Amino acid sequence: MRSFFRNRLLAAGVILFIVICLLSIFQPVIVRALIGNINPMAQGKFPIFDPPSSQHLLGTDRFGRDVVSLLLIGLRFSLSIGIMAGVIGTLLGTVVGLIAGFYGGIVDSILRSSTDMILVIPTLPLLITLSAYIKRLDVVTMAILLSIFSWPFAARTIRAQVLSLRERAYIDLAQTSGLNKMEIVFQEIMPNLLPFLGVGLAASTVGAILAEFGLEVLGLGPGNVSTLGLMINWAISWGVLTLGKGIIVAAPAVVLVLLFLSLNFINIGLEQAFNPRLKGTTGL
Amino acid sequence: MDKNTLLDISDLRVYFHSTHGEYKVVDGVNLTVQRQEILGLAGESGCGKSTVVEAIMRLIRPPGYIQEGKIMFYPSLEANSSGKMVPSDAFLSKHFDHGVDLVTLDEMPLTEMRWKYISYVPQASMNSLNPVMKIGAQMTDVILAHSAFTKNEARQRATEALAMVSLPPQVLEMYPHELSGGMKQRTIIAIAMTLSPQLVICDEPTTALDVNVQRAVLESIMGIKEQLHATVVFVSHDLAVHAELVDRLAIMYAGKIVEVDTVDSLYKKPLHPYSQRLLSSIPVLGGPRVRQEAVLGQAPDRLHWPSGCRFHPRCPFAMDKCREIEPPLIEVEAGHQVACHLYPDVMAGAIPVLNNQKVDHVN
Amino acid sequence: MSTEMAKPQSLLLDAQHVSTIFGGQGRRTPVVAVDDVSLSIPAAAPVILTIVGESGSGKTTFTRNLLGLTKPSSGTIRYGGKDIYAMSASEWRSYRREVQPVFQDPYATYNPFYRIDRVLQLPLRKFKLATSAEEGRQKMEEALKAVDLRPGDVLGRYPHQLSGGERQRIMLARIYLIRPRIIIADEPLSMIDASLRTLFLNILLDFREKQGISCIHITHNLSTAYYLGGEIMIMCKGRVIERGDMDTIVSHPSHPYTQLLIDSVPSSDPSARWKDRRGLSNAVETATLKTEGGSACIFTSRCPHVMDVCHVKRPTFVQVSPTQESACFLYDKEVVPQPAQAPAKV
Repeated sequence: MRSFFRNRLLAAGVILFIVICLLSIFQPVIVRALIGNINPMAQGKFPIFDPPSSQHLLGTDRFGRDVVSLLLIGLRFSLSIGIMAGVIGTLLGTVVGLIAGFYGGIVDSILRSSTDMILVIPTLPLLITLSAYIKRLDVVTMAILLSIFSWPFAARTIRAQVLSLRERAYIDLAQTSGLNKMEIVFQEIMPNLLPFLGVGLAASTVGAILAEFGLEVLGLGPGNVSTLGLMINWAISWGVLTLGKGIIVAAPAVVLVLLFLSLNFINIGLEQAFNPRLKGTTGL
Repeated sequence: MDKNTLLDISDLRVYFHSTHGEYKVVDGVNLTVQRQEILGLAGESGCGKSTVVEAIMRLIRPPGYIQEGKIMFYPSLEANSSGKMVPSDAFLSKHFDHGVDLVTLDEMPLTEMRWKYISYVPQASMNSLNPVMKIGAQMTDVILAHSAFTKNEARQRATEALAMVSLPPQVLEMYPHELSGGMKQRTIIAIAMTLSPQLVICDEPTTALDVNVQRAVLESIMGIKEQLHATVVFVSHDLAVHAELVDRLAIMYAGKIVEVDTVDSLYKKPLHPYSQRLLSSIPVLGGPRVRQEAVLGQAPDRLHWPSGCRFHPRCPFAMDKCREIEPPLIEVEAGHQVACHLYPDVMAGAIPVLNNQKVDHVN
Repeated sequence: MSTEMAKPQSLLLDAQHVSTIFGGQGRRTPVVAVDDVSLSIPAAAPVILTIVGESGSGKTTFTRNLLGLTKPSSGTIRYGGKDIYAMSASEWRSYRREVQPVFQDPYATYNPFYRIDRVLQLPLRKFKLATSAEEGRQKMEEALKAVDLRPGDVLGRYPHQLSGGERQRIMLARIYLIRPRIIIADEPLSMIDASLRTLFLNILLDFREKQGISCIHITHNLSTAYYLGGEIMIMCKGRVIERGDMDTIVSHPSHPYTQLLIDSVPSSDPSARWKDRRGLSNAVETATLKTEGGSACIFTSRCPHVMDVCHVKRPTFVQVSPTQESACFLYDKEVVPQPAQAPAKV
């Protein structure tokens, strides 16, 4: 476990992620601290397009809303969608991959075909079409929609890994020790999949956030909440760059980049921690 | 220096850095190799025998390093029959009369020396054949890179080398996956022979091979000595194979040499308690079925070798002296060296210890 | 032990005409890994039976058939009279407990995620070998000491923290703990050192003498097989070509393949080295060398005594001496008018 955190990339990623999570969790508190008891989404409370000042660290937008507050709301939103979609997708994918890989035969063929079918469908166009029909797009609905597209990746990876693990000699030994198939899948194979689950989770989350972000930039997605993507969408429609208020479009982008960085650091760091060949040699 | 000596290793120490400490894998090895002999290097895993030959070939990579020692190589100019000279031959020939120290030799002449003067057949080398090239192409590549032969001459040499290991010329047109494990191994040996080197080092060439195939590979190695008149250093943990093949045998334990002797004499009269246990544990096919004693205890911790004589925790004859003082490798008879406190004097007429008898001194 | 297993049978383990064929579903040509192999272990007294064969001889596949890990394509394997592939759940559990493996690779056999204690705890739990945690712990320690390991040194550790020798010894400690009736050991010595090999072989002998455990030992190394004694069965390309008493066969090998094998074993005595060189004729063994199968002898391409009949009929077992039988036409009265009485000279 200690060697887990000796990896600096992983440590950096985890710390950054924890900071982001804390910001999201305490978002209401922070917002109240910044702007008092005002609804951050309410329009016209503050001067329009105020430059950054001690009261509004990143200024205000077209409707007189504090940018920092909007950022925090959006961050919380993206994070919750991303994590939810990531977890659901990975869980679903893992179960599918485990069953397909271990039992093989016709079960494997059916599951593999379904996985491939979904992989073939282009994600963004389908999401765009779907969101045009679904009137109320709230967090949970969106998470479920997004997870439909992320589970095939997890399924493929897990299945491949299970196929290789299935042939290990310790599986033979477990069989001769009296374990039945279910026990073998969960007690012998599953623990060795944890590294892949960790990596898969991080990757799924990134994928989900990116998809959600993309939708919002296009103007789809929930309209009643301020999300990061939506902020950029608004900013572009206001033409902030020509107005010299570039910070309104830069800020959400930077926050998103930081979020991705943290998740990807965790991703790469986990891979390194579990695959000794990626690390430098440490002697015998 | 004895004219017959080809290789003289003195006080070789190869250590490996690690977060836990220094692994003293080879810790003070003195060994000579005579011309045109097959010298065997035996010992169990972890004793350092593979590392010794890797040091000779200067293949020790970080975290390993040669801490100390000299490996003097005395090739003979007349014996270098590989034909046309390349530039480094001139450089090397200047040093030949007083030998080259392989430890301090520069990278460039060292690379030139490989394959031409010293060849190496590493462990599991049958997997090092390029799977997408024909055998013939791989062999001629090596020959052309290290000599001034023409393509045709190189092909001719390749055919001759294959014949020396009893492989037909058709092999040149084959791909590695078409050959069996034993044939691949013999191909590697053939490649090692193509430039008629004076020293060929083989590291566990017969491990994991079936017994039929093993015999064919061993015969190929005998061919190196008989047809090339080269010297062979043969590393293996299998003492039965050493009995069949080598002229002299050196036994290693815990990074040091514990006994060296001609193979006939050593198998009849092993002196070091470790050699005795090791040699008595060779199962003999068809002989009387006798229950043997295993060597007791566990292999020593490589980070912290035992004090004094490294074998003392497992030795049935351990004395107080053995715990404190490391026994030097001394010559007790002509050509027979042993590192053990049971044999303190060179010619004191000590009777060798066999079958749990205690040592006596004869007058 | 389940009462279903208590029925006395003259044969404890009885494999009859087992064949295992891989592939053959459309594209690829079928590979006959195990070709009509039979084997039996008596119930009355423990025996040691060694199966000797080169790589590709089918011995590993046959081992998996016996262990219930791979189902054969034809033939039956009965334990205590019951077909192991048609057993009820409780019969299967008893079979599992009474027939245990020792594998070749002491590293791959342990799940790197768990501590080594689990290797011993799992059978304790699954086979209900102890009634309390305390008793279980005692049994574990007793088993470790029986293989010359200190419990304090190995318990609580992960597999990668132990040496190859220690890991292989834990395999044996597990056997000691489970107390099966038959051990099936697949090349158990090939990855451990010489000094540990002797200990290992001695433990196998002790298991037979003191615990009454039979052993089926699979190896390509004739010398270690000889040390164990007992019976021997020699396989070549999926078929058994000679079988019988170890001493008889080693001193008087009848089948040409057996003679070839014994001839290739290094002498381990420097004064008795190989006199001749085998040379080119026997040395060429390409991976694509055609071996006949089906209704021909498996050894025709390499046999120095091959006759016409060897290419058209598959040899059946002929009793060459009271304690050995050979699948070779050289000894078949019906084929050769004057069959060889003594082993044919190579």
